[in-house]
Amino acid sequence: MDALDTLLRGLPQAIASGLVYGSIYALIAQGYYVTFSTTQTLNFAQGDFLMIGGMLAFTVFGLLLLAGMPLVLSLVVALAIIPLVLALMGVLVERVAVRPLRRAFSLGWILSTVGVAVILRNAGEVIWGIEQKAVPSVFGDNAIRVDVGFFQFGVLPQEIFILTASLLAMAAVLFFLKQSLLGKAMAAVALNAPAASLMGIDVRAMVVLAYILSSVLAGLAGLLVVPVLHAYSLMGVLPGLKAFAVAIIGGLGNPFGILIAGLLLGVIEFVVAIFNASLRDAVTFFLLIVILAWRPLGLFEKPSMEKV
Amino acid sequence: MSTSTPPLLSVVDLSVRYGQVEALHGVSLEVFPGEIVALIGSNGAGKSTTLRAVSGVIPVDRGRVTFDGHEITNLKAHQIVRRGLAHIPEARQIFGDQSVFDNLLLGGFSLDRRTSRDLAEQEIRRFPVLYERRKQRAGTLSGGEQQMLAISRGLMSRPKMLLMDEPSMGLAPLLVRQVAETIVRLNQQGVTILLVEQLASMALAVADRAYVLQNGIVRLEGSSAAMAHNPEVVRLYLGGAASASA
Amino acid sequence: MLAVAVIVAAPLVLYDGFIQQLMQTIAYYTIAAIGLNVLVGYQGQVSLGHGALFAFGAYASAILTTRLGVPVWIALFLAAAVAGLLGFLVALPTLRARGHYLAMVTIALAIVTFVIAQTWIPVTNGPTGIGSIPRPEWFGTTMGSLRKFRPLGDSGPVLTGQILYFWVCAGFALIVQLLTNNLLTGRWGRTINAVRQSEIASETIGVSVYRMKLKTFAYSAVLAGLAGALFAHQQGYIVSDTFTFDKSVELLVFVILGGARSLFGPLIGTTVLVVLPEVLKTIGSYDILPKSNLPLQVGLVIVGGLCALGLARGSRGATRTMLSLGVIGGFLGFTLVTPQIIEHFLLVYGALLIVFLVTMPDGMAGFLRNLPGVRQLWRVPTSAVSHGAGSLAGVVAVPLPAQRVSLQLEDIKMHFGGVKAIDGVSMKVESGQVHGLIGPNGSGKSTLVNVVTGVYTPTAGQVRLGSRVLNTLRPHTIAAAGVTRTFQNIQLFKDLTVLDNVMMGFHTRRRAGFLKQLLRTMSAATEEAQIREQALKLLAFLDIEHLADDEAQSLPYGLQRMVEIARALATGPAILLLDEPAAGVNPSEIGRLSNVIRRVAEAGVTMLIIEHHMDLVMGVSNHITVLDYGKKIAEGTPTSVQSNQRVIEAYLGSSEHTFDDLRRGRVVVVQPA
Repeated sequence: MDALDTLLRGLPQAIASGLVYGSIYALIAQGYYVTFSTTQTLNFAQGDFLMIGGMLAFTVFGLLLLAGMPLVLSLVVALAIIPLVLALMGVLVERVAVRPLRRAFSLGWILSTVGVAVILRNAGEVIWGIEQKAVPSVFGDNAIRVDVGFFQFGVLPQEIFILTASLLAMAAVLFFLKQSLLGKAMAAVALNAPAASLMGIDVRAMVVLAYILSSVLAGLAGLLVVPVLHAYSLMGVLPGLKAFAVAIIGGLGNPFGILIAGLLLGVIEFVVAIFNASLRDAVTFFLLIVILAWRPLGLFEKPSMEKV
Repeated sequence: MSTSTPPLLSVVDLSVRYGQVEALHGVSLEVFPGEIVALIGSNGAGKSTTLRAVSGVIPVDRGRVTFDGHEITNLKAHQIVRRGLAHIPEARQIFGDQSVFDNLLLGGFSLDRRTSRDLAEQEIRRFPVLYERRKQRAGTLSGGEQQMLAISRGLMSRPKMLLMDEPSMGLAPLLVRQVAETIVRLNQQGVTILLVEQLASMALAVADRAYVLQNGIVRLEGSSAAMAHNPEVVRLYLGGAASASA
Repeated sequence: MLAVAVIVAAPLVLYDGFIQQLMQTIAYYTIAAIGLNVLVGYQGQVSLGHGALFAFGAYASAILTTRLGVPVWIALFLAAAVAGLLGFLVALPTLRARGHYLAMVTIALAIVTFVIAQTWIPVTNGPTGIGSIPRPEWFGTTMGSLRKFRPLGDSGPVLTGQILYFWVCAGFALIVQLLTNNLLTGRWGRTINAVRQSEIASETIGVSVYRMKLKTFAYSAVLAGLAGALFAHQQGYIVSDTFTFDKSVELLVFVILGGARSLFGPLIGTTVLVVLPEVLKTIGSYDILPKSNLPLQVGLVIVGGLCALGLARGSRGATRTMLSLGVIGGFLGFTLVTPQIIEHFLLVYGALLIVFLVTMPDGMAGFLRNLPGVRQLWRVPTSAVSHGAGSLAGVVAVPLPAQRVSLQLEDIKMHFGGVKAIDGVSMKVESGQVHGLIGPNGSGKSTLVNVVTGVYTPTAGQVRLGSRVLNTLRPHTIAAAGVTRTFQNIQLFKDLTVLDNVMMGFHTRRRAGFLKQLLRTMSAATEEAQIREQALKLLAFLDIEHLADDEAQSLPYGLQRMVEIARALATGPAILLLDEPAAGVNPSEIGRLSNVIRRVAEAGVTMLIIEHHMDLVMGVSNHITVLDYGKKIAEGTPTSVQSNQRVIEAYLGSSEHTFDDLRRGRVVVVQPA
């Protein structure tokens, strides 16, 4: 009964925090989806792109605050700079680490993007040092307490911002992919690249675009989380891997599945943490193994008939 | 070829290999503006390979492809489309996950937004069945409807010339007839067509001239009427015994 | 022999405790890398979780020796077994799915393992670690102490425990290398190569692809576990921080950079990658090279950059080799003269990884092999004995007339979504017949072949071989039951020789198990020799025995087709399905093909031939079935089918639907001369 009691008392808070962090996992995971669906490759440095986003935010905030600019302006400037830098990094990764290895040996791109990850982690350390960095939130640090009967929990304004912004970003990406002609062209490349090229679609450009999109998403995630998580060179490692698990569980070809899986896993993580904080990081991967054994294509994917 | 008009498409000594295997061994052909030219031959003769090499889907090993006065050998497929040479691939290759209308919009990818949308509104009316199913996923269309969609989609780039690969494949006779009529109508509207077809009777009926491809080289060429009565052509299709009994 | 000499001599020459320890490290990582290479290189399955299996080996051995008092020598093997079992359990559900899923699950395994190690304190002690893991003892000396002693009397060599432990590690590595070479150069290697190159073709000659993958994974897991155990006993204590996801990546890097799918690639890769960091660190800490010399730095960057540009433009052969060396040289040189970078060794490591991957797609072993002139040293030709064109009987198990069975299809339907590829086809392939199946493109012929051979499970209807229902069986079971096929787009095992391809066909009739192959016992060797003999006879039967040593993909299409037929015959089929055997074959070779088909038929093999080439199919078939739109439209002798009006209409168009009227009224714009 004790355990149940603990669970019930911790549940509202776990759900609230879980949704916030889950939305971040989902946001990063959408990046995996975008590149995987167009190129059958993905960037294992995605989590470290988040770190770069966070570090850039730290630098921008630091410089502008030093110059006496208001906090909001810092956010706006960061919002302008981070996507730009990350987009460039996306182009670079595609060109240097993915494209030369796409055909040579299917393993090539996995290892080379892991290589990118190793470089970024260490570059992050070289450029920004090893100490953890705090970035102020535009929305202040006063937690909002919710205390309505059973529902007792606290959230930071920044956490609400994280959830809203990442949901919005995902909605924007999905809208772009599903509704715009460019998005449809990317889907066409994914489905049948030769046929897409016969429509006048530049297949290579679509691949680069996919990498730009996924990198920008990770950068945005970094910008969002630094006010609540401290920035340091290894901050992206676990989120990157967890987002990967989310992408697999939700289905690498299913953005809505990814969103749901992200939120779900975020909540499960925090529920598990009620009992054992150290198991929090493992539960996602346990679930991944279990779910893959049960449904190899992810929770929401339907197996398709393969033609020979 | 000493005519006043230069050919719209000219293929000279085209060779293609798949890995170590050479699939085309020096194919040459010409298509003049306003013509329908048929490329016929049995399975594996290299008909589709020829079209794919011309439109840039697969790389050319040797030879030259010239379109509309410019060399297009080994340009990327999307660049070739933009020059006005569209290719409707074998087995339709429509984007099954996307709606019928979106398939058309993708066909007009190289155009600007408004033109593409207007053109798609026109094209979707070319075949009434498509208009009825404009919002449906293209993968749910029947084979015949998919072929109609593929043709409309191919026309979305406003091509000067169409490469059509086996438009009759898997279609019932009535639909084949409809496709044939469409080809003729398109041609009358000014589109030059290079038609790859296994169904020789259809191809020879609609085409002005024809090339017969066998094992990666051109075996015969001439006017369609002459080809239709060439016993060699019949033999290639039904085997020795058939030509004797025919 | 040479290897033994090197192993014995190395530590005596390199008399330095640190270097000897480094050599131990190379030895056990090589063991893990060899196992991973079998999986990744030969089998073509990606594992990003071998670090976890390595960790399981390490923890198992550590716990067994420190807590349970198990002797080190026994603990090593138990640890390997534990890792193997774990690998087997993980692979069991995972390998059923195709594609990237093994990679995904193994990543999860790597991370879960790390978290378990970190948090399951009662067992693993987490980051504090398990200490005083004993080393094995020998000559009364713990293998690891630096105390010198002379076991062979005063005149003998001076030894230390470090040297002994190196000998243990290297001895294991040598044995593993030799055993694995046994596997890889024999039937096992041939089979996993075959599975990698074409799963579907492997299935149709009776290989259970799933079981094969499972065994391979378990084998590589055992080796990872053994390596982990050796690691634990070398270190003396292990902490959870060692076994992060990076460990898995590291192992994979050894394999890929060393050269996947090469026998000694893992050894090369491990050696270079264990030594290189130490060299870089050493150079970094001494002032040997000029530092912060701007012109030099810029120069090296330009050289490397230009070479990289050259590579990106695509080049082959010697130019490519030079450019690759240029990129690597430029990059390494730059880091060596730039102290700011070399201090951050991992930065270099990451970049080096990418540079190596891009410039050497086949790893270092592949790079060495491709150096001009080296390739010739490798080739050892097998002498093909000519047996003259013999008969099939005695070579393959052709069923006797009394045992022959017919293949029956009853009301088969195969629907893909809304498309009815086959819509109620019934037919019977009588034993001893050559049965032709024709029809225009898209009429459902190939789908029918796929249904019969188990690639597709029919939507409705029944496929029977004699009285046995084949509907729901997997292709490899159907092959074992006696139905096999060739493919329209030839599915040979491209990298294998012609002889190896045909030897693969005998798969279902081989008896020597895994252990016998591993140890290459007499019976396994005899079996291999017999099969080889039979395969050569089969090649002789088809008049292609002179090609036995050629790589399958180097042959012209027509000959590849012959090899494919030979491989199919090797399974001893009751029914052989030929899916468009003439596709892509030169006209000059068609005669030969029909000749072969006739001779195979005479030998008593029933055949179903799907074909467009009318001369061929009409010439060899006794009986013909015609499909159109997924339905049977005619059946009978070749002559009757050829004069059948529906057939002519299907091929040349209906007389009711002539297209002549379309021509009327058309204006031809240009009439070419």
